[in-house]
Amino acid sequence: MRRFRAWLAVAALVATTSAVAAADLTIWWTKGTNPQEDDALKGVVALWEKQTGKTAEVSFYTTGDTEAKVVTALKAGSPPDLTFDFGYDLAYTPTWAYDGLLADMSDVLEPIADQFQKGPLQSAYLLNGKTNKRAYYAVPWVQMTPHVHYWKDLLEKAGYTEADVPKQWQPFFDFWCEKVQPALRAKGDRIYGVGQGSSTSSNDPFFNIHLALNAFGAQVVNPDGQLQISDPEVRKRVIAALDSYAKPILSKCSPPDAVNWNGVDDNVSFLNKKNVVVMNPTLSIPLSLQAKSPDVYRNEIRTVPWPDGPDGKPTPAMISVKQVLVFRDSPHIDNAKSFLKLLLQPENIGPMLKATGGRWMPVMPKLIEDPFYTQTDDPHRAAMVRQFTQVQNVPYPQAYNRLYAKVMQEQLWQKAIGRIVIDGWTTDKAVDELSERMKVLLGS
Amino acid sequence: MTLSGAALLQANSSRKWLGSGRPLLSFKEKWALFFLMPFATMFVAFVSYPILYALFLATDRSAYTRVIADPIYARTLWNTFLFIVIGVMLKMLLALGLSSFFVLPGRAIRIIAALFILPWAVPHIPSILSIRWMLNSEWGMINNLLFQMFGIDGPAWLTNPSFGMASIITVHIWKYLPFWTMILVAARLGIPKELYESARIDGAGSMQQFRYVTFPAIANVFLTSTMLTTIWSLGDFNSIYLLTGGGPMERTNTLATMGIRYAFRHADFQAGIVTLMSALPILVPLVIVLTRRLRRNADA
Amino acid sequence: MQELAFRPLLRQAALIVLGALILLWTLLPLYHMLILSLTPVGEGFAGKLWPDAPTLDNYRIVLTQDNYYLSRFWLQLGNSVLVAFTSCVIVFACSLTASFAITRLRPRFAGFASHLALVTYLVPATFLAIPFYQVMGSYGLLGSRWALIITIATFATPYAIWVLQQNAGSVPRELDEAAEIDGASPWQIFRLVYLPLMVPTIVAVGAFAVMLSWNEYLYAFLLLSDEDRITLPVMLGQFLSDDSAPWPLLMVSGVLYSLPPAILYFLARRYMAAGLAAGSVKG
Repeated sequence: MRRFRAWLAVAALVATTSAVAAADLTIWWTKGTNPQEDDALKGVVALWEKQTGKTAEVSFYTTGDTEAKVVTALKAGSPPDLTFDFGYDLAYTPTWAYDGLLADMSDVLEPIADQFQKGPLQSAYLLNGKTNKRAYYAVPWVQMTPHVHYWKDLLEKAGYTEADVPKQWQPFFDFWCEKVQPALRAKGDRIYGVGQGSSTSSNDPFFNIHLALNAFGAQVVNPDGQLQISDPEVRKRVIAALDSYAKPILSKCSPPDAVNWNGVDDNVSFLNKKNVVVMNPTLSIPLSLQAKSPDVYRNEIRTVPWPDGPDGKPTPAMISVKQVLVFRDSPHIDNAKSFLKLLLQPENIGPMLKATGGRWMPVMPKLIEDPFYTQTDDPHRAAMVRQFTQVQNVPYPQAYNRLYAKVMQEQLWQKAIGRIVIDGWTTDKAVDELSERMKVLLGS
Repeated sequence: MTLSGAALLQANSSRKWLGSGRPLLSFKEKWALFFLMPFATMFVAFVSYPILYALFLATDRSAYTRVIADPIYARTLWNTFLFIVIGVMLKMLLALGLSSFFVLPGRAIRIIAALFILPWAVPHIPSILSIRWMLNSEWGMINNLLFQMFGIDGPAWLTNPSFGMASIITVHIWKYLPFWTMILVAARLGIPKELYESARIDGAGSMQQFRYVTFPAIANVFLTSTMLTTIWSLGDFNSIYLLTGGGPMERTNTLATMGIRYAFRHADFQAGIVTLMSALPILVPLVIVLTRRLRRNADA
Repeated sequence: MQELAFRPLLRQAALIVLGALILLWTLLPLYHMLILSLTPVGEGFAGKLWPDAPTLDNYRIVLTQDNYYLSRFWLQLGNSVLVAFTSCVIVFACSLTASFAITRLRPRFAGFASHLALVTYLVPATFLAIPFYQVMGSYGLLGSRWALIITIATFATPYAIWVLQQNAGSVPRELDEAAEIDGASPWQIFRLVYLPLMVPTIVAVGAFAVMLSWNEYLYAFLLLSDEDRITLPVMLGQFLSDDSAPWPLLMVSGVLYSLPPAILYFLARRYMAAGLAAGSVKG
């Protein structure tokens, strides 16, 4: 009898593990850089559960992991109902929409289309190759553009002032490498000038390299979707941009580990003052100090405009619109839609974005007009708003050619930088390899 | 349920057993079938099905083109070769050498042996992450000490491709050396003492004792162990993934991490399988030879 | 005379140096884990040999789940325990029966069955991750802890069968025969003769199964999703992607997570050594 009871206990224990909760809505979301971001989403989820009486299950992953989980789940035919990751719009959405893998979100977006900015809305209006028709296959919810940050206190420690920082592209980067870094090192600090990430395990370098390409006027894909990398003028500019990008790495002005930084290592390195300058696609770096060290946040970290391109013109802001996706094979498409309708109501998404501390820009004019963005005395958010409003806004090449998503998936640009900084190839040869592969991927 | 099922089976088979005609399966064989059922179910559902599925995925011919066209693939093969040849050889030679130390008598040696096993007993994830942090070129303990003591920037242990591979091999050895050392120690402790005594009477020094007594006695174990660890090292994912993630720019992948990367980052299951299958020319012969060796040893 | 006294001394000194080197090599990463776990969270980047102000506060934070990443520490540790325990039960159920059939009942297909187990034992688990993911999907088990439990049991069972098979020889066959003459059924022999006499080996294979499960990262990451169901290693992996990088807390979790297998090993050491010697590579 005692043995029987022991077995019963084992059986009960085993039974509890098998209870895979069949939630009415499964959400796979990329973790925020602070708990408030995740809590803000959970708040909306709780509201949805309360309103509908249904249950939702939210899983948070780190950015590369969300992609990996979704990509494989999709392949296995068991995708979540709803998902967000930074990489989707640039690496997957265009081709997933074309292959008919995404659910049509038109009935969510069309009734509220007038609440959106035109550009972000347009970025979700995608061609389905199966039906040969366009529809809204993604739900835009925020937008972002890369920023430049530096440590003001380190600059001053090196004996310079903010006025000394050059405003032109190459002089700007050379200043940190040739003036600031040696000055700091002379004081015994093991600090690098510029944190120039180029790893294939992070998406950040993709953003930053494209910003450099644009600064140099290298339009790899033209608005008609044609690959132009073999055009001699474009190629010349591409080479110049990559040379400039690789320079801090080759001149040992970038932390040696930057070639293998994952999505947050750039944040970690900068926040721990291992390098003076860093480029990052959202305001996550200063924001992680906002609550802990408000003084450092306001007075020691600077978010500045990008230096002007070599032609003297302001460097355009490269905008990417982040999307929430629902899949054709998602088990609860209707629940996902009802959740999105709730999320997109300004009174829900507005506070949710504020909870991120203004890490990125809303996509709805009504929200952007909020004094939180327009009349802020927050130095970083003000700089972000200026990026969006005062310089030319340019989309990534994926907007012109959906196949360019594969260039990001294969991280071809980072690999080209790798050829230059690791294998010691000439930029010319690296661009040859890059062009060849790009032609294959874009079928031209 | 199982008990009544067993009883039924027994009743059935005893009847046949008592009967005149020779049954297809003997009484004991029917029971054996019954006892093998759990393992057989597991084997069919979770071993043969996945293997068949993998073979099915590998029939995609375009995947071979995709993999071979990837410039990283050649590098990955080379890394795998380095990992296996240097990693396994170094590890087994060290294990052989250290086994001489651990067979010595003495309390101190017992204590060192108990601590020495720790890398193997401690789970991979915290220990390898600890090493990752320690080897970080910017803020890791090793480079900081180098900077403090000699004022030099230490090497990029994890983000220079050559140092990265060296670090990976070192971590792999750190993790698995204890296991194989203990195997060899166990084998050496099994050698009859009389053999050494007679060798000593014949005037053999310690080197000669090792050469003429120890090594012949454990050569078999050594060879089997080397083959086993070669196979398992091919499948070592953690030492690479947790340490360098295969970077910088995919320069420190082996077939194991590359295959997983294709499948779970690029959603290309076929390419993933094809990548892993590149190890079959080593894996299959080793498995065949080992199966024979182990069975022969077991029967002997 | 002098030389004779000198040589053992030299040998002694060499052994001491060697022992010290072995300890340094073995313990450095573990020492690093320990000191980082005692370092205040903000100072994890100092790279010191010993923290300026060691603190146990990190342990308090982890044990009381007072950090965002660790808010489910006990639950996830519980998952690890549950997975280890349940997979161990399955390993026993499959391997004890199979090894009994192969070694005691000796059917004509015993060789075949043992061959299958051996071949499975030799295949590296990583090589099957891709089809395993798909297969678990087709069984509808993705996201369930069962998927991980079954995976671990699948990879641990062949080894267990092999070791049990090796050690079954130590149970005298005469006992079976005596029991058979007394009218015992094979089931009774299994339960009353085989199991009790195999206890040392059972302890060894159980310990191995638990350690295998405790180590699993790749499959746990692939097969589990929900924060409430993941095992602790998956959570530890997530630290890699946090910019505030509370690595001292990661190391605290690491130290705590390392304790059970280390203790288990020292408790079962004698049995495991026998299992190793006999099972994995019997000369």
